[in-house]
Amino acid sequence: MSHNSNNFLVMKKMVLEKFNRSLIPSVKYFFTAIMLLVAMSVSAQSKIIEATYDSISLFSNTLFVVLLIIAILLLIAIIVLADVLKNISASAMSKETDKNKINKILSATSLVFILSTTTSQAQPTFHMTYSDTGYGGLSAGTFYFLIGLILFELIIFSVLVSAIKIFVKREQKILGEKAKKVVAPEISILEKLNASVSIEKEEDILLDHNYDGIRELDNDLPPWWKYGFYATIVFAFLYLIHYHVTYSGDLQLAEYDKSLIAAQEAKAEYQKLMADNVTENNVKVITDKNELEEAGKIYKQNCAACHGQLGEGGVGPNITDQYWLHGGSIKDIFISIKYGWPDKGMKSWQSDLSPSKMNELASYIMTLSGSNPPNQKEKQGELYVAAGLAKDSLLNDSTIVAVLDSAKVVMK
Amino acid sequence: MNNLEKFSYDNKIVKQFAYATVLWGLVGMLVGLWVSLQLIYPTLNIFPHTSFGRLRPLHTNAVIFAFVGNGIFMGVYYSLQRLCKARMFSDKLSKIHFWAWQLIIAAAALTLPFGITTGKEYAELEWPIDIAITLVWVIFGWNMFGTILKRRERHLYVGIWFYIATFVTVAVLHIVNSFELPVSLFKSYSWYAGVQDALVQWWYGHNAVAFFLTTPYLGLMYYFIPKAADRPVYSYRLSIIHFWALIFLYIWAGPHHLLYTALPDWAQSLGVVFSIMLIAPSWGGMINGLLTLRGAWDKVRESVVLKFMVVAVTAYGMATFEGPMLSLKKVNAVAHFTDWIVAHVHVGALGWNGFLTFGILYWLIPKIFRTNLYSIKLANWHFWLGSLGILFYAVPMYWAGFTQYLMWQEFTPEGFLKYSNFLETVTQLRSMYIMRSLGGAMYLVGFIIMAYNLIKTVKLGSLLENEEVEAPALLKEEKAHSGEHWHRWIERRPISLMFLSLIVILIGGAIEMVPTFLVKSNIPTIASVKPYTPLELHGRDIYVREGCYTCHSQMVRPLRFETERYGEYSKAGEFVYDHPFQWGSKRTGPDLARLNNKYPDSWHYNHMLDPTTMSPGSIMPTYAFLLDDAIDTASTSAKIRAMIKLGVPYPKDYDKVANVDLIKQANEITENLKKDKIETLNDREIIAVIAYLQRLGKDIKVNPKPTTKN
Repeated sequence: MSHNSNNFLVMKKMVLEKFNRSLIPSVKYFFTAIMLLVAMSVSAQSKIIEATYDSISLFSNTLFVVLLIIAILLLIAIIVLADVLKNISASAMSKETDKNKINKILSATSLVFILSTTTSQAQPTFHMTYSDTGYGGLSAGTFYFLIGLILFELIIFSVLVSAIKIFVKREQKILGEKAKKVVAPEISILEKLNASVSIEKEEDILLDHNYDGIRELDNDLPPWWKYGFYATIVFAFLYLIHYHVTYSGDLQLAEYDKSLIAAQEAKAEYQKLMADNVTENNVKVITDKNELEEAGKIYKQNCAACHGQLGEGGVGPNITDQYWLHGGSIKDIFISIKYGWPDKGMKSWQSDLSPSKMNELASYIMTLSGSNPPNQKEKQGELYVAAGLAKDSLLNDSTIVAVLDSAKVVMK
Repeated sequence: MNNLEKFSYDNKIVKQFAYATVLWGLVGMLVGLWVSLQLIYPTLNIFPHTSFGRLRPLHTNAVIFAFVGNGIFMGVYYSLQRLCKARMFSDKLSKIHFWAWQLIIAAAALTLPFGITTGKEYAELEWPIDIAITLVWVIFGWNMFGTILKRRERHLYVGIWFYIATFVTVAVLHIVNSFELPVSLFKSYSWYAGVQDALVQWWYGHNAVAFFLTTPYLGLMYYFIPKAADRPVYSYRLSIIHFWALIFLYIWAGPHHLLYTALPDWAQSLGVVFSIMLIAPSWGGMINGLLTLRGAWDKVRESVVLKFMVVAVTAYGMATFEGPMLSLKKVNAVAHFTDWIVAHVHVGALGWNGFLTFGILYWLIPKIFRTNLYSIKLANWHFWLGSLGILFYAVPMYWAGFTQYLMWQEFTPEGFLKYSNFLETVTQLRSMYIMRSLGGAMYLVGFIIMAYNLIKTVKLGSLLENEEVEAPALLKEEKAHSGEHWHRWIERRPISLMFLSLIVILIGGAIEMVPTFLVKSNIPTIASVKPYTPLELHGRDIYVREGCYTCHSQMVRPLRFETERYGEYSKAGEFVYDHPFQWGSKRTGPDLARLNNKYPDSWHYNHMLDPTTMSPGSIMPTYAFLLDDAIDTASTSAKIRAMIKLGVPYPKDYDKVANVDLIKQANEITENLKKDKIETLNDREIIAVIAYLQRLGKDIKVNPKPTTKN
């Protein structure tokens, strides 16, 4: 009995010592790393916003966010592995020189880590352009930089893994030599990662609890779990400070306003480029057959539900007769489409269709005039006569034919 | 060791709850499969009572409260007796608890298809059932604490901590969220309105997941995994920290269901950060479960029970990592309102709750029937069908979620929405919906195989109704061991543990809710927002009755692709008369917050009669019966009185004249329809629905002004 409890005490002391020696300094290390990372990303973010105020924030690009998350996760994995390595080295290394070596390795990795974050901050090409579709909306520079960063992290990651493997092997060897005929306990990476007491020794940490035969061990909190928890708490404070104390982050309405401004500018730019600036003041009838065909499709998709497949009317008025509620000139029809008549159930289409598309559609609707489809809705509104024709001359059948003919010409 | 007491464990109650678990699981999953098929073949909506909007709440209620609920009670009644070394406090209470709970479920199954609902997700049951739930919950707690108090084990095991936290928190959640003012036996209005109702509802909804689907199941995990694996629990101190951290942090995270909505920014941010801090405490449970299996992985290969449990715990870990990620605003903007969320919750429900329940059933039924499982081979089939079913369910739903988001937010270079017709983003998902139904069907087939296997097992053996055991009585003295862990102190004091967990879970809810209710600036009022007219109120009640919120949101987020599609983003002040709020959580159809004047009355009339005439390809059910059924004008004055009581500023004695206004407005709409050659009586429900739909977003409409300047 006494021997057992003594053994247990010794073991516990050892575990605690190991814990203190190797982990507490690494808390500091970890925290500095996290703080550094957050500081970098915050400053980088503000820089991005400054630089691309006129375009869309990088963080709304899914690819960018995914790559960034991968990079950060790898970084965390690297930190944890470095921690494990340190842990192993502390227990495996007895010679001072070896310890120095390990410290060198560690400082080298942290140097690399800092370097990588600073370069990420220094990257000048955080641009998103519409034309750059080859990289999921990212500029080539950003894309390759992130991929490079991830590859780089992967290399460090694999170096660390192989280093750990070497140490574990060496430790096993040493242990094997030390107690050749005693059992050589297996030390797995998982156990190192979780700082768990190996199964062979678990009797030492078995508590005297017994619930319906269920016993409880007293393993330590897995370090990665514990520091992960701390990290999320730090994140929580930084997040709240960022948005609600220093106001350095955009809350949803500010973010929204910026996205509107950016979109507006991009649109103006595009319209300038494409000369897509048709308004009610300069709209003209289009006669190009292909464009009218295209407009026919738009009609079927968006207008036919209310105005009928052939324009005969339905919920909405008949648009094939000569009678118009809001005028039948190209300008009037364009205005009806663009702004709608919301009180009467006609919605505004300007946020669905570009100016040139509305122009095409208005022209297409003019071609329907006089097409005389079946099941026409009764006439509504006023008779509209194309400019140049006297109203009363319409009573003359031949002029109507002439009007119809001109419509057909347009249709061709 | 000389004063051994003889007593017995009650296995009959465990058997009853186990049978109910299987039976209701079958019902809930069948309904689930059915509603998933309705999204592919809308004709499957058939009757008003079986339309998607009414059946979907039935599915969610059945799987959460009937399947998982009975599963919880099965596991608690089995494990609590053994962990306390005592028979349940009262066989009578156990019996009442069992039958009353089944009655509540039957009441749910009978009311929801009739459109008797409060319209609040996962809390749809009407006020008489809410009261019954409260009573049954008290009976459960009474029975549980009675057992704990007469225990023969000095300390409470971690599983029981989770049961206690579950008991107190569910009680608080249910009571606070169910505050409602009855209008009649089958109708009530939520006590809260708009933003406040949303905050309370998602505080409840989120924590229903936390304290009904998670903490009791963690308690079960802590009992059944070590038992099934015959291994000690990995870490006692981890269980202490993750227990307290979990229940403290969980309660705060509700607002992550309301990111980018009209909820005040500070509350949203709290929802984000507390969700992120939840990762570790949640994973603490997973780690403790999985690492308990250290040294038993060879058993996992052979034991189907352990296989189910390992997948369950892994699914728990995945879902609780995904959850916090979904709480980040950028991710949430993508996932919210899409099928991504559907995938997420089903990984939790099918993987964690389902598989853990299956593992427990396969372990426990042979045990209490003193026999071996009828067929291990069939159980293995169930395992693989179930696992594949989860994959076939989740992967297409993730895909559908991404697809829909990408289509929603895509702009053409001209600055227009590329898919301005919402319907395009729905029809695109059809093949993924088919895959999902396939996955669900596989899971269900596995479930049926299990039911068969268990029935056969039961027939093989005979139930040991009262399991005779003996244990020494507990001595009165409560001395602390020297050098014991500080937490042992509270493990000896169940009542203190209950009160402490109560305090811990009240903090988060109070800090988020009290300011939202008391500080005016959180809900800036808008002068032009007026109460609903009596006709609109009736229309709104029909909207709630039909469960329109299961597919349509009323919340335009301040995101460019949303305001471009729907109009001005939603403001907190718009919802001050919404009892209950109807923001919705899923957009199978488009948002309706800005529906006013988008279409003429006749469009709505035709659309309700047959949605495909106005929107070819639509998967919305037909609501032709609204054209025939009359508005219940007899209830108008009671409804207005209830609204006045809730603080809606109708004029004095308005309840007496409300029907006059109702008829006046109904006539206007009828006239309007007549202009479009639609003849209808002015007292049909369709008129009220049209009135309500045309009201949505009307109040804050400023003078028509172009949304984009040219």
